[in-house]
Amino acid sequence: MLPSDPFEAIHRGISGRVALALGLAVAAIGLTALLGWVFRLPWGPGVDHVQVPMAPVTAALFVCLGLLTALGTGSEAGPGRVRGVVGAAAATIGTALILLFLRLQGVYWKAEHLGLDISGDAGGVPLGYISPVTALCFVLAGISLPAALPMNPPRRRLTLPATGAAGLLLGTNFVLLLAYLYGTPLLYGGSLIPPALSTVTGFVLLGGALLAAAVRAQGPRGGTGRDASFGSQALFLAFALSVAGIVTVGFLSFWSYQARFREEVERQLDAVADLKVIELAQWRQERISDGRVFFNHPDFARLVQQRLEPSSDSGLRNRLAEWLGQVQKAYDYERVYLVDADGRELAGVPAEGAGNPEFYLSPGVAEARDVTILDFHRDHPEDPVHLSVAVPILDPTDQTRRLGTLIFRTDPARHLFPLIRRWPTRSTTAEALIVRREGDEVVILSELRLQADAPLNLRLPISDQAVVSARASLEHQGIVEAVDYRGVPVVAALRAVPDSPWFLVAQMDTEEVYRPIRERLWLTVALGATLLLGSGLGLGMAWRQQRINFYRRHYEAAEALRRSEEQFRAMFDLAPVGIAQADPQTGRWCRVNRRMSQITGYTEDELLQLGFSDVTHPDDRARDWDAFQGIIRGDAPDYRLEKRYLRKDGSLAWVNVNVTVLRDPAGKPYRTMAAVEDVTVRKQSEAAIHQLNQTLEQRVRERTQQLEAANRELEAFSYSVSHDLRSPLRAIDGFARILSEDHEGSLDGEGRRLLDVICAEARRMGRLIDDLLAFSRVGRSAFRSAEVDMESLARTAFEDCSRPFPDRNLEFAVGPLPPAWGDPAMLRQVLANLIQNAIKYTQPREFARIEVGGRLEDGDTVYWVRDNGIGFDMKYAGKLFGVFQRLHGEDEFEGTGVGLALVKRVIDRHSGRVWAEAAPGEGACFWFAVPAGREV
Amino acid sequence: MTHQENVEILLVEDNSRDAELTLRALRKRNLANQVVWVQDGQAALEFVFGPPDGSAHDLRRPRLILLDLKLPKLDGIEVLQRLKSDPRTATIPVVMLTSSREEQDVLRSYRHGANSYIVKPVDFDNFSEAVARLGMYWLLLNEAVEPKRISAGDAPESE
Repeated sequence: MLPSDPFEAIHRGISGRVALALGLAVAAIGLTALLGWVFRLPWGPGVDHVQVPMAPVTAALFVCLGLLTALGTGSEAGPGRVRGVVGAAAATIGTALILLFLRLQGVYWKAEHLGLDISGDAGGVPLGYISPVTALCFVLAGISLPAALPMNPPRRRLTLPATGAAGLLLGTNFVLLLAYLYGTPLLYGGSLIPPALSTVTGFVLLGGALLAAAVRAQGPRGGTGRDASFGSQALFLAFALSVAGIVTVGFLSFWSYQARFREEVERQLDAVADLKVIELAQWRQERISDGRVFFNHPDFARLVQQRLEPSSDSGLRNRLAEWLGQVQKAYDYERVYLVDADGRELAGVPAEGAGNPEFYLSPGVAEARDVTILDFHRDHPEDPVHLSVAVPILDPTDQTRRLGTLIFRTDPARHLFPLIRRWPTRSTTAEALIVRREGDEVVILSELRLQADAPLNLRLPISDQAVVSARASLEHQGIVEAVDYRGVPVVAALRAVPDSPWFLVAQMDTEEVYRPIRERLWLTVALGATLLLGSGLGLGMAWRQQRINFYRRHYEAAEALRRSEEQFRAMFDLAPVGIAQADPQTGRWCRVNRRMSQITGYTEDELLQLGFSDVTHPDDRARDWDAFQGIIRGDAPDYRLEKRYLRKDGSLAWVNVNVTVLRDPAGKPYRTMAAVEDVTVRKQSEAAIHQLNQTLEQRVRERTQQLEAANRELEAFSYSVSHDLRSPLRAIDGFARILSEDHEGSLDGEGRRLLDVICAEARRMGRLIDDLLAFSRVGRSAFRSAEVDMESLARTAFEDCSRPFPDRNLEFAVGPLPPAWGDPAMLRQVLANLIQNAIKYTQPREFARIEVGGRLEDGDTVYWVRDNGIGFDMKYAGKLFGVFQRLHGEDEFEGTGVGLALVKRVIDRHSGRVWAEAAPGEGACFWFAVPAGREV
Repeated sequence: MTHQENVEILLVEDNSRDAELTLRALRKRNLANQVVWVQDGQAALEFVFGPPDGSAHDLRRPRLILLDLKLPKLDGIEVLQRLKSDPRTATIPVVMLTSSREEQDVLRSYRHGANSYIVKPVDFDNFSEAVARLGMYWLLLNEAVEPKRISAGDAPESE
């Protein structure tokens, strides 16, 4: 298991905040649009009639999806939220698909306006209806919604397409947004409703939010541990995509602009050309009409006929001249003149400037039976270019006979050329011209803007099809792009002028046509460059920040590592235990500390040539190696072993080793680490202690044996005391009695008294021996513990003790006594002795009172025996319990001085205490306390 | 030793002083006529079972045996054990007459079938009184087992 990336959490935190912010922004965009619709705010129902506003349905969906994305970025998602989000996604997709279907079917229901009063259209499409593109984008958004779900475990099947859809959504709308920025929004001008600028913006934000949420939910793709390179790649990808987007959209936008502009120019050229053709045709028609006035005009024909008569007089001439003069004036012809069939001029106004008969005697004119137009010509080489209308004058009586020809000669520079040259729009290079084909040449007929004296002088070979005029003369129609008479590239509209040999060329210099396009190009390039620069800068800064973060983390990690290493080294060098790292395969040491060499006696360099087995005592090697292999196999994380090292000088060192194994992330051991504690001193101490213990036990045994022997001796002694010591006493007593009985007569009073003394002393000796034996028995006999009923014990003891004194007035009181824990026989002895004492020392009292009491006190059972006897002085209290210690003379109170010593000895054996309170003449109270037994 | 055929009391006592005092006490009650005094356990057994060489010897059954504990050669307990383990002699009343008040002595004696345990008082009056009562009790009051009623198969009274 690899360690989880500590930066992932940060990454997720940032992504989460970005997703939240973008999601809320999307919702805000939708809400703003809705408010715009509701309150008719400027950004709502399209004040700008060029661009469509966001549809209400779109706005509502934005609000929902924005909030969903923002709120969906919370902590871990439970199954409930997963279901909720998937449901919302399905609802979104369903709604979007229905809307898409409606749009593609061309169905526009008012319901889509969500009850808002919306009418009108923008750019030919109805307002307030969702664009099919927008609907499609919502399908994408619905698919990508689950990407925002933090799921554990991640469901790749659900999140991967979702993330892809989010990316697609972002990319598509980025392109659309760029198009808006370039000023050539896409999808306008058709029947398709284009997505609004705000919609596109909303989708870009939504896509970003979903991607950020996806990153937050799934963590950076490609796993952890490579976040820096992942970040760089992502940034580079983003940069490449944005460059591609900017360049592509820039190019498309420019291309579309250029196409539209060209189209516009061409339309303009076409329009101008059409206009000119119409005008020219009209002009020619007018000229023909002018001529028609005189054609078949009987009076004029008669007049001409009369003029042709040889008898014609000057009056007639004048009349004719008057006619012609009026015509010339009325129609503003340059010269109107009449020639006869042979071409002689009959009359002309003005008088000078006769025409060249070559033109009006040409077969086409001379034999024409209708008004014809004499195309551009020069009557004389030095003459200006003229255009004439030839009106045949026929004999009114014989229509086949031609009297002559009336010619209206017009100066085209006066009316026609301005008419041609006039351009309806402002343009510096636009011009219209007419040409005519003459054999293999094309002749420029009209005056040119930039070349003087061109009419009929400028001839171009018709074979040079690169020239527009040449092409026009071959009856090319429509728009061509070629060079003009100057050799300058132009865009031209070509037309044939009906009923004439003329071809109209309406042309404009390509340079002028393309100037705005070029400007547009530069603008596009500048905008694109700015966008590229901006995105480059932004991404560059992000990249820089990321590098900084990366290197800072790198540095921090390196610094942390350095410190860790430093601390490790310090610990390693300063450790009071030996530390050694070994190769897990061979057991050879790779790193040892100073202490290690102190323990082993080898230098560090020497140790690095050895393995731990080499310095281990041969008897411990197998055990050590087994444990070592155990942790390498992974049976246990570490082991602890006490073993011996063979030091370099051959001495033994006892060590306590703790060994653990270090593994790489794959679990393969790469190093073992051992802490070695030198426990030689401790071992020696332990050995010494062991030795001491042995000695001690031996001594205890010996002492016990001695004690047992002493005990046995004591027993033997007691035995002989009880047996052998008493016999002589009995003999003394017995024989003294026999003496007094058998030889009574030979003894006087004094003799008998002396014998009595002997008997009494012998008996006293017997009592002493009995008491002493009882006293020693207390120390020797086995101790039996039981619960003892002290109250009944006290009663029987009193009965036993008071029996020898039937005459005495003894009052005995025994309170309720707690049971004691101890040896019943011994405790009976204690009570008996104390009661006996009390009886003894109350002897002088007429009325003796003996009271036995007891209570529980601090875990002890305390008893007392109180009397109203003679008491004693407390300053002798210390002597009370000694053997053979007496506070009263034996003549006063008989006794051996063993009783209280025996009491003390019994209580001592019970681990209890005994003490007394008394005052001379005021009675005494003897207390004893024994620990309350476990069952008391 | 014709009178030995009617021995009523066998006194086993190594201390001649004590023996004298005992005999005197018995004599005072006229109980000393058929008393035999032996000074050690060996002699006591020989008196009852005959010499150890196995020569023909009739078993002698005193009516009462007064046995001291501390004896030369065989001590009192051993003598008691021999007597009480032999069915022929197990029914003879044996009274321990000793100076020991030791509990273990008392216990051991009774365990081995002693019929009574008397501590010799140091006081002569008490002593002679005790011995006299003892003789009276066991010889006069107590109903003894007739010798003819003893059969070899009878179990001893104690283990």
